[in-house]
Amino acid sequence: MKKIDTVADALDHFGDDVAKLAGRGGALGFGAIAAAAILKASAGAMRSRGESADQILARIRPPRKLELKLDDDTETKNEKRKPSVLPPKE
Amino acid sequence: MRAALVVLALMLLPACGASLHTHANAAAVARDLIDASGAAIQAEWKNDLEEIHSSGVNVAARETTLVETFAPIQVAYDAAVAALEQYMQAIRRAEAAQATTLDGPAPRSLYSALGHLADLGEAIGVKIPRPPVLLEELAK
Repeated sequence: MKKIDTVADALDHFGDDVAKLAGRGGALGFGAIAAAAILKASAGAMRSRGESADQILARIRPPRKLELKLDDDTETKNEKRKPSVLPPKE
Repeated sequence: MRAALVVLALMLLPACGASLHTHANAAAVARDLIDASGAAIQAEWKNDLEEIHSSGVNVAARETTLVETFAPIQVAYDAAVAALEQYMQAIRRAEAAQATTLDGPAPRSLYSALGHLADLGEAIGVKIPRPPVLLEELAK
């Protein structure tokens, strides 16, 4: 559970919750991305007052790694589906 | 919500001056946008893959098509992440040099990368918001 000490923490936490709806797709997903960006930007702006640019950057975590892979199970099935190589005719 | 919008408006105002502080805030906004877009793309991929498996029809060929469809968006996503990294490095370099403004193409590159990601998202049915107004201003 995230520690919430300030209004900025609360906005940030709420932004994370809203961002979870991004996976629903459609208008809800789109709205969730936009709303999460606003909430987290607001939290960032609140925290960043009096900070240097470097301090703001230090708080930025790298975005998630996008992994669009077929699961191992599927790959194994596909391997099985591949036609076996026939031995050369004698 | 109203309070959040007011704070956002206050945050957008300094864009006229474009201090390094403003650039750093723009980088933070871009990071959250990229991350949330990644979640939406990943979810769409998972849904499409599950749909293919549950139908059980022509699975291998449809998987291949799915991989080919999502390949450009994977490239665009990675490019957006790389553009963000370069933007952050440019801000750090400027601050180390005690510059007050940011020169160079980094904000524009990030803005273009995010715009491209949004375009490709639409193509696969994932709505990704356009780059934030703050970044658009900074990219000019």
